[in-house]
Amino acid sequence: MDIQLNYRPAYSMATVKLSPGEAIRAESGAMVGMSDTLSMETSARTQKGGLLKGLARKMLTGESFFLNLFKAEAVAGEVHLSPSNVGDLVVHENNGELLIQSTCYVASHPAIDIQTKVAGFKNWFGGKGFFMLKAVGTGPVLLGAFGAIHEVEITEDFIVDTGHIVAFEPTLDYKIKRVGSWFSTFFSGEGFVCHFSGRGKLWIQTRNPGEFGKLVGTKLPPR
Amino acid sequence: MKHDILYKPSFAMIRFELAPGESIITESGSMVAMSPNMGISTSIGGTRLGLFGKLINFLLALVRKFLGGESMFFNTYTPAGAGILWVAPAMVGDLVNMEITPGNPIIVQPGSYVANTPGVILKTRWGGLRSILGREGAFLLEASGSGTLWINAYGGIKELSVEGTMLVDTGHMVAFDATLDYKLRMAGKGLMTAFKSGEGLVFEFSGRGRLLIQSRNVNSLVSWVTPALP
Amino acid sequence: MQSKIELSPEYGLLEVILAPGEKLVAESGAMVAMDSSVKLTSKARGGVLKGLKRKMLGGESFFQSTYEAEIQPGRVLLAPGAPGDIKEVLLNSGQSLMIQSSCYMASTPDVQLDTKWGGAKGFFSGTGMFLLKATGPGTVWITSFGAMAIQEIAGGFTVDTGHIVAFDETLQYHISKVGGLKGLLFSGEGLVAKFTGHGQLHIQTRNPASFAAFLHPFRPVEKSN
Repeated sequence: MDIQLNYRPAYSMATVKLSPGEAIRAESGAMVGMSDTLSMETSARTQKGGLLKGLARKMLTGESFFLNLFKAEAVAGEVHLSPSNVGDLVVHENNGELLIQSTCYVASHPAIDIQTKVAGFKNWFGGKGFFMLKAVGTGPVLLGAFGAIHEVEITEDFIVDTGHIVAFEPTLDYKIKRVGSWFSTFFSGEGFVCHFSGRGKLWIQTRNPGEFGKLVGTKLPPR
Repeated sequence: MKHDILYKPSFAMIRFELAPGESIITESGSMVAMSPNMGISTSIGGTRLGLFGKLINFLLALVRKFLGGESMFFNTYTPAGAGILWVAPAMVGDLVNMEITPGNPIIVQPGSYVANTPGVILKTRWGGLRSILGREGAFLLEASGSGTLWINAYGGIKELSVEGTMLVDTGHMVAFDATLDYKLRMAGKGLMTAFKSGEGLVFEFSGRGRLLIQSRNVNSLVSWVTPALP
Repeated sequence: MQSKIELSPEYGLLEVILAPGEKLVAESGAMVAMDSSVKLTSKARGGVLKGLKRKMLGGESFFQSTYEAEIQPGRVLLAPGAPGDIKEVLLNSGQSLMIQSSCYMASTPDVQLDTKWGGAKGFFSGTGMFLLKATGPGTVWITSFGAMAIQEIAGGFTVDTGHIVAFDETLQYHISKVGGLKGLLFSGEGLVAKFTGHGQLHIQTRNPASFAAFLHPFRPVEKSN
């Protein structure tokens, strides 16, 4: 499997070249185009054949979060993938666990287990289809950001607005908080923040999908 | 204070390094990350004092929110020790900082305001009755005093040289020197052309001064995405 | 006429300088700025579009703006609604380019514009998007949501219809619904076009329907009273 990232940093698209027998799992809706030699199916199974747990997670739109599997059978082929929002992509070689904000997951090696029902993140993102995923296993994970991706190596305490979180290693200590006094919290517009401490890697995105969604969404025709 | 802007021109973000007790004022909702020792206070903004003044401020802030679309609150960040603060606007696009010098105010579209140093004074300027017809231009912010002002764009920022008279769509206007003469008018002849053509209200600029425009406009984004909505 | 594309590829901006007597046709709502000496007129598009609800089209596609420099040269700056790029395409006499409606921004007056629905099945069924046929001679400016990429078709290539910007009329295509759960998604998602033959396909690296689905929960709710 070879993953190339093009059109960086604003409108990144990944071109995944699959050799015969290879496959990649991707978020539904991520496919831009593909060679006719590849097959595409809705994937609900792990490589070992068991059902992927928690895939029936519903988003506010009523759609289920589900994944597609692109596979090269006898002949090699390529598939182009991109996320829903504008911004950059990054390939992270996962080895262990990674916590990913749902709208930032684009694709991963089929050997990686994607869990959608991850406890402990209630209220982090204020609903509207944002939740936390956990990727477990070894192999590449394709992450997409709304905006630019900024990698932070946490060595001292750091507070991050939850809407700007792309992914982070669970080796970090993380605690959800509200910002400032009661008055500040209600009016400051900052909402929920995450207080990180300990050591580990954190990826942030330079735009907040919730803030952007509110700003543009309120001007759209009613649903 | 140290500051720089990362990820220009697509999704720019400001990084501040503040000395103990130094303050920076930003629009609410724009904090990306900060050090834990940061003190935050929220205010409504405006320079009038006294209870009556505070009421006027509150009403103006409400009006600003509903007509200008800009959030009505400002946050002042002051760290206890040395502190860091990362700030980004809600819209995608570029960010620049402008130096404000005494006697040389700059007029800014409210949606483009991101942050300012405490020496900069922000006042709301009313665009005139005609501006109610347009979707933008109803309120403008005037930045005066002394210090630095950060403004963002939806899209890229371009400085235009005004030669003769220039018309600029109100949604694409970011900021301009107060030395420029400006008035609001319809783009084509008459009201019907304006509404039909979708060009709406424009600013007519003449004279001398800097003029910054953005290469995208939120209302056009709304029109563009509407056919794709379920 | 002189033209220049700036701020590319992030947020492309088109600058055109019209010589006296020259005209430029554009999508309404695209104007950023212009010299006040330029004459701006607009007219309704008519034709097949008359039958479609204004709301579905987003309002502005009904109208077309024409910019004309009269006695002196005039500068016009245009930009599309979505974040992304702009590309200039020169068409020979009789050469046609099929353009996704939200990707057309402007053209020289000699280009024939024809609104052509995407066939019986439709490229974008369930949405207000459609195909526009632009026939040369002349120049047309197309825009993308995201970056613009060219895919040379030689053999078969399947593309999600939301990622199509424009394609040569010489290409053949077949629309189908993608199998499985993906086909259940609303707003035209789940439709793919398989291109065959020889020609160029312009694609965009972001999809308006996915973006619309992202914004959908943030829309105001219709009051039923």
